[in-house]
Amino acid sequence: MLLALRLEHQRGWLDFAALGVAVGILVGVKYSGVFVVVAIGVYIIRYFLKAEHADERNRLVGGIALSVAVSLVVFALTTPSAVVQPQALISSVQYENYRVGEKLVPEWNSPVWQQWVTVSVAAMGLPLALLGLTGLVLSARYARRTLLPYSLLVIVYYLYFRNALLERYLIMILPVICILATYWLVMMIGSSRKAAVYAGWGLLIFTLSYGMVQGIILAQLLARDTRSQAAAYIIREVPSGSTIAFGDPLELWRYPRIGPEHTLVQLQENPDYVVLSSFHGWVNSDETDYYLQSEDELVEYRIAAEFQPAWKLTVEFVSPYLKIYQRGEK
Amino acid sequence: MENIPSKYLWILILALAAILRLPGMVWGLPTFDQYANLSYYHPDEEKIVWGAQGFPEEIFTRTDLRYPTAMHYTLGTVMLPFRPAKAEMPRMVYNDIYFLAGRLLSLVQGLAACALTIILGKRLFNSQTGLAAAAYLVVTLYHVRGSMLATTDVATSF
Repeated sequence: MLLALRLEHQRGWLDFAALGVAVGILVGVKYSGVFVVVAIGVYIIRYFLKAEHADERNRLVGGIALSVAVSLVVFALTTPSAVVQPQALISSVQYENYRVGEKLVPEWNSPVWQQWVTVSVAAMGLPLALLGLTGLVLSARYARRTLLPYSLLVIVYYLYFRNALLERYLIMILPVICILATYWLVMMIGSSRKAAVYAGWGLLIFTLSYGMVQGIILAQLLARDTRSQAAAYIIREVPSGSTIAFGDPLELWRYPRIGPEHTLVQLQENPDYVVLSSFHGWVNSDETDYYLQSEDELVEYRIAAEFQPAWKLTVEFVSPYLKIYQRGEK
Repeated sequence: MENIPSKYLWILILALAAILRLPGMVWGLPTFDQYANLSYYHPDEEKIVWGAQGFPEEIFTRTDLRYPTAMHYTLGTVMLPFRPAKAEMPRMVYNDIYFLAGRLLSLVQGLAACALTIILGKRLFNSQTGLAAAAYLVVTLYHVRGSMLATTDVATSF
């Protein structure tokens, strides 16, 4: 983004090449990096419209062609097997598209909006999500010119991903959302009205404090992860040779891992122990529904141990609430 | 904010970013985490680390391209001098060192993202906006969490 911004005044071939290198690396890290083209595209269109002479426009077109070529070369260098085995690239991308598509809410109904709110709050906390949204709306009035590439990037990003893995893909645009959240607060703080100054400082400090507390809680939860505690319990208390079932074998990382002395089986195979995790899905309500549903099926089991996190953070994988059931009378 | 020299705020912001991200670095790695008896990783970390361990032998033969391989091979390049140690240490310790190195790479990318946010905010508006935006990024939960893991998420914000 900085390199695209730089092109406003510096349009040497090296500047275009540098932009190509940055985009190539970004897409070489994650395919969704290609979305940065939305913001860069706005800059390029703007420069093109501002150009007064045909020479300038030709240079811009040539520069962009160079950027595209360089980005393709850099991508090929970062992912050489994509060039040697294009079929592997195509099938991997198709698989990812299928995975994202499978999770998308198919219609534009209320769950999409709920997901946006839930996911944004989980990823960045309610205060920052609200400040970012306010900044996005206000940018149309106060900073349309400056922020259009960034506002558009955020909007396109949300529209494309909707609910599918958005909380993780959102990390790419978090710096932009933070800028959207702060520019208007800084304007308030610089205002001549005292009320605006106090409100600006208040919001700034409150949001920072909120994030700090969440960060500290996260560190605490990771230091005493419930899955580590549950794994230690299984090693210590569950007899060697016992069979253990988890709710969904494909999602093992949401459960405590087991050692080689125990056997992982399906729930239908009458296991000696069953482990249920509160983290099963991306949305709290689904998570709870699944959890309760599975619990009701375990009529022949009693709770052997529970591992509850000290705090609840709606962040991927952190310290889920775990219950270990043992076969036997309730 | 304008009364405080911005270089001190830069240092403060980046130091805070490191302080919030460092404690999670060893999460789930039994070699370093006294509470982990068995290894825990985010599922995507394994893809990166196994890809890095296959570098450079499999750069033309890799068929799992669900993630493009810039992150894998960056880690693989960084860890090349360490590879001879594979024969001399337990497999788990060797793997844990790779995971830790991958997470440190994410940490560096996370800190760089904070620094670039300061610069971008300054270029778009002023240094106060850049510093405030970076301060927010420093404490944003998913960015903190992402900077602790050897995944590609934070690298895209950089």
